[in-house]
Amino acid sequence: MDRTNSIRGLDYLIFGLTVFLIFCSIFESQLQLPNLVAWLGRWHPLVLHFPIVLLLIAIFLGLTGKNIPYVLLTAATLSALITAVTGFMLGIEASSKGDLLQWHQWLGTAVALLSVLWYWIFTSVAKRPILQKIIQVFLLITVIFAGHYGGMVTHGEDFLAIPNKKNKKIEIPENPLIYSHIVQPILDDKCVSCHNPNKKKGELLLTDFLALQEGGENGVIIDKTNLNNSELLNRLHLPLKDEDHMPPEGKPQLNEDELIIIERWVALGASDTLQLNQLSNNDILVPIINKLKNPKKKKSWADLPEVDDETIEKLNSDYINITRIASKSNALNVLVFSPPTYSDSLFMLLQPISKNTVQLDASELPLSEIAINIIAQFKNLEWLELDKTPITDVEVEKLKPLTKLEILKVYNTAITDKSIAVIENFHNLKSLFVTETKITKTRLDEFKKTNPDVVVEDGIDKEIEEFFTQKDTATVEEK
Amino acid sequence: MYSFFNNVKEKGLQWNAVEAADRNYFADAPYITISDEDTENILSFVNKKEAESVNVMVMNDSLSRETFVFNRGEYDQPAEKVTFNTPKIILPFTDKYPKNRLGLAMWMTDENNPLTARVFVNRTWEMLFGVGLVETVEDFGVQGSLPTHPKLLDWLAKDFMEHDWDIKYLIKKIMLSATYQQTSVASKAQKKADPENKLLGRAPRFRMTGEMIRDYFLTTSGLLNPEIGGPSVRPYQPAGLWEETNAGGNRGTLTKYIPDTNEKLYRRSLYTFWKRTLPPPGMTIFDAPTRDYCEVRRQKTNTPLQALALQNDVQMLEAARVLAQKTLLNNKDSEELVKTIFKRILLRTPKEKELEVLKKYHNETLMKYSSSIEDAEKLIAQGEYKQLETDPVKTAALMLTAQVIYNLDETITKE
Amino acid sequence: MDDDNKKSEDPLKINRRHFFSQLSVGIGSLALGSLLIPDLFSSKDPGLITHQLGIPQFAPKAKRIIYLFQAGAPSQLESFDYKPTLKKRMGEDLPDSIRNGQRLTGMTSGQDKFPLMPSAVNFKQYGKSGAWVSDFFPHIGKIADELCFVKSMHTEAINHDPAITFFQTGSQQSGRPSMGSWMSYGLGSENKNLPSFVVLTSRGKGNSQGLYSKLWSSGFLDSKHQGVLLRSGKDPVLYLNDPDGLSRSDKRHLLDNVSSLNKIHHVDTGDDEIESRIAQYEMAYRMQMSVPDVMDIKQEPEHIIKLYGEDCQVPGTYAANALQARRLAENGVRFIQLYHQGWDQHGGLPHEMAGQAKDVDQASAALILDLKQRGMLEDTLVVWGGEFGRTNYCQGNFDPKNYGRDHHPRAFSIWMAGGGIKPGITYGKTDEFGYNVVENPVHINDFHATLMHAMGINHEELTYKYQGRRFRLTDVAGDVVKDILT
Repeated sequence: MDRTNSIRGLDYLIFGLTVFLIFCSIFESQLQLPNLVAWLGRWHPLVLHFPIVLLLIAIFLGLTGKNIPYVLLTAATLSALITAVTGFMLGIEASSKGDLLQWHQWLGTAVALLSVLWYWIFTSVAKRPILQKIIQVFLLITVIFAGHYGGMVTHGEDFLAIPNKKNKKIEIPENPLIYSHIVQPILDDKCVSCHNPNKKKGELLLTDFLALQEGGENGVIIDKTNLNNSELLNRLHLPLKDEDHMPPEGKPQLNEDELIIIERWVALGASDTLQLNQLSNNDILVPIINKLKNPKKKKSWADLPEVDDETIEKLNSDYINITRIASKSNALNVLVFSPPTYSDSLFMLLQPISKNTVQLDASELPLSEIAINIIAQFKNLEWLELDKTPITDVEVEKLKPLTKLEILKVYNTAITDKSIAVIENFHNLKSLFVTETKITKTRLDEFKKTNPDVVVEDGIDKEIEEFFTQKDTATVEEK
Repeated sequence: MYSFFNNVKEKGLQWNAVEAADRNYFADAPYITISDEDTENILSFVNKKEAESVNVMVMNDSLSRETFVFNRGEYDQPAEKVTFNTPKIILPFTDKYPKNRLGLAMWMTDENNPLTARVFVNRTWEMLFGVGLVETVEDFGVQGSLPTHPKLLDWLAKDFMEHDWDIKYLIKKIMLSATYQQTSVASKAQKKADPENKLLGRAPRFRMTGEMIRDYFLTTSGLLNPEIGGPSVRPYQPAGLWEETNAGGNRGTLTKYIPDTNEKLYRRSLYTFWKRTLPPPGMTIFDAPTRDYCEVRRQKTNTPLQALALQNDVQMLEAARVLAQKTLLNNKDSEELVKTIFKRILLRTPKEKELEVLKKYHNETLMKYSSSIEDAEKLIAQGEYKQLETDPVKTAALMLTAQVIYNLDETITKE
Repeated sequence: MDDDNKKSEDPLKINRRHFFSQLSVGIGSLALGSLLIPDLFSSKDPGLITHQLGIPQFAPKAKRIIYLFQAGAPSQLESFDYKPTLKKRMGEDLPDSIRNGQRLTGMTSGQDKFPLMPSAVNFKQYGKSGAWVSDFFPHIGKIADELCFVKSMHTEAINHDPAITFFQTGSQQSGRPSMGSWMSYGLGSENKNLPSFVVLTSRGKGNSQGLYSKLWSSGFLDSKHQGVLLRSGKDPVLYLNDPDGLSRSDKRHLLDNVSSLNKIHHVDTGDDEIESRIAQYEMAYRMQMSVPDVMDIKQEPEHIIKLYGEDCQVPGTYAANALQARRLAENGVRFIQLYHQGWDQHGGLPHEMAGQAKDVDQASAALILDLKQRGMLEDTLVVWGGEFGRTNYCQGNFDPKNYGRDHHPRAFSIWMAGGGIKPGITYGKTDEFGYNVVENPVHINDFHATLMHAMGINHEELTYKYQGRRFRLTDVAGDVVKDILT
């Protein structure tokens, strides 16, 4: 084989790197690298993609019996070596190594050495095809595993696991420990992907209470002497663009409630024994934790039956407007405007979508019993507008099955106190609009007292209204 | 390209709208004044009353300025200096052209310029067929569509140039072709095989532009004033539009709309005065562009506001009224009345079924208005055009019949 | 020879072009599959589906917007941005460090001094939120707990025309579709018997600037999305009224004959566009009923009239328009745009602004109260604001009783209410001079993105391809201001 000097040079380079790599893996623990070299390690995540691709192509060609170009294999081998060496340098930066990283390191080294071996056989005179094939198969396996472990190191152990949300949600007990039931789950969720035994960014572990006390390379993160000046909080509060902000830009951020929880928990002494019932009732944490304890049931529109565009289109008319709440949702918003010749049969048309309708505006229509009977079948209604209709208590009574109602508008109707009894049974109710009805003030006040969460609108505040009607700015100046 | 137009001495901004109205310009006055002498000789096509001076917009190349590419379009960041040139890929701007706007004009109409004639022919085709041979008439580039009939486009363009860029010749050529004269009736098979009529197997149907529709009403009713050229006119427009949105008081020059009178009301829509901040609504309702952007291809929408305009615009009502009165005067035979206006508007003999519907309607309206002459008189009081001596009841009935025909899809559609 | 050349060149040319066009079509259709939008109005069911496929992208908080635009730019320093420092340093020159090279209009560029001018009107704190509101707006103060004040708006334009065009269309240069047109294009109409985007105008006595129909133009979008100017006279929509002597039943009779003839022609030509024409005529007929009905304020009870102020009985006033806006919102109009002209106080500010404020204060606040008691604040978003702010220094003679303020794009205040906006908060902050934004700046693009978000639209995804490029309201910028959303 007539090989030029430059190619010979490549051989030497590969040999040199191999020796260096072996040296590294043997004397790893005693190595002290200058900063510049450590910096080289940072290139590991970039270069690692080359050997994976190049080796896989070469292996594919080899196993399918095609010719492997010399350049390809050379490049593959070189890049495998460089990757392994930079990997070591990066690894040295890491203070302590988890199992995952160890495994990744060994497998990576194996990849590099195997490819050197292959390269050596490939360029030698005796080609030994069988041996090459065996090496190729081994190489394939090691590449896959090295890559897999590498992925787990950077993205977290369960990165490749099939997402299983349900298991992740921890039930919060009636009287939770603030730390283990509230704070740690937040850390698990937002911080631990970097601050775990395998990665340990900034030499900081956030996996358990003890680790938290220990702090990281910049010392303790919870300053017991000056709680509000703890590094943990400072980092969270830096502007997002700041390099030192945590979690780093691009990673999932803590939401407002989570920030308050951590801040308050630290302020309260960062204890691991503190429980909810030890807090004072007006502590800012109480409502937040209560909210966490009873997570609002997500609107389960996903469970609604399928409704196709054609049905919607067919039912849409000049006076009925049916739209999806959102384009991919099966929940529908239905608006009915008063046609010149109205009859309740209009609502019969809507029966095919009775389960899908979550919002219905039937205001200002001369509704009669038949229409109400149909509306009462719209079990998934969350938003119902019946204002300015001739309904009475009798009709409201019929609406009893609509337990999912959140917003009910029945202003400008003839309903009385009797209807309140029905309305009280809508446990999901958020807002109620009963201006200009025959409901008495006492009954309404009673309702407000028993349902403090429901916003009740029964007309403009008298004092404000008076201000408006008395001080008509348009005329006041002229006087 | 901008270099060609960057040759005006700018004096800098110092005046407001009122002062500008007093002819203080920020740059060289962008017009020339045309005298009687000019119109007698070289500018004979300018329609100008004698001894009246007319200002015509013309840019004055008063000095040559340096042109720069602005960095990211920022006016205060001039970067690379550039000079006159055109895209080489179209046709290099060689030394044979003078380095000014005359040169640019010569370059554009050079017979080796591959674009100009094709683009023009294509736009003419679009005007007549509704869709250009290249559908994206505004874009012959890579984002545009390909011509459906490239050879036809080439031939028409070449033929157009060979006949001295004669537009009348071009239009005649297209309109006399068998393709243009086909029927627009689409059989089921045709619709299935070629729903978009790309192969031109039938004549197209498309709604006319706002200008065309108004002109059509004027022509068919005999109202049209065919005068060519001259200053813009102000036809009917709903009262108060300008007044509601101006800055209050008498600021600016166009604060009140005062419609013209007499024959000026019936000029072609081309001559309608155009206030850019509030274009004539009769035109914009029919998709006339607002003239903020260059818009080559108009939309052809179909909206309820168009239906309202066709029904209730004074111009449209007047057309129906005048047509009715003129027909009544010229036709003694009352049997033929409906047929006559139908033919007048749609230029074809009505089918029996159509005639039946219209006649029935005509008779019913006659009956209705003979019992309420007052209503008939109110109805026919539309427009400024002089009332002809006709019986109000008969006029009202025939006017409404004309209205029915004017509101047909066929009337405002080119087919 | 020439011909020969052509022949030898042509196949190559065509092939290459053909190839590229195929390529672009291929990639394009892959990427845009979801965006391809059929021409809805020429489809078989004319007018039934009016919204864009895939919109709204998520459940909207607001279904409609009422935009109370204060044209001419009301001063933030006499309305909602309270700056006591200006009083302390009254008459001092605006420090260069604050002005920081801000360009000026032609009206004050000649001034050699920029003396700081405090507000001639006092401020009070209102409600639980403690929002500062000037005494020009006592009614708005009363409802401060319903509002979200944004004090950190900023824009790029410094003159009315570009600024207002920017606010309404997302571009300083005119020609783009207006906000309302985008909403109409994206979401369609709720009520098919009314336009989905309407405009109401009024004018105060203050110095005003003209309005232009381009502000509610649909630009390159279909003209059915253009704002319909509702006027106060007897013809609220252009050409709405039938001529005298033609009764409603006569009109019905006429239209019936028009459609029977159209149907005959439809059978003959087979063009479905004719069907669509018939449908549009029917809708026009219905509009002749529905529009005057909606516009008829006389149907309102006494206490509502009182709430908005007696002014609202005078057609064409801001108060009348505000009440009108509520009626339109109730009837399912998507975007209701009010313009009140006359806020351009270059001089005589204390007096002129008092008059302007009187025009709008009570009616704006009444609108909020009225919407609230009807539960409409749940899904109606109200915005109040001008196109930019005004300078903290005096324009013209220095007279604390009678001064003027020039245009100021760097900071100004607006408020919003309802429709998924947090009530009772103040967002953003200006420096002590009220000149620069120091906290949470909100650019016009951000504002647009936020409005669209409230309506269930991802502003980056509602696009329209025109002349070779995809356009959107926010063009290439805009971040949703999440902090003010509920």
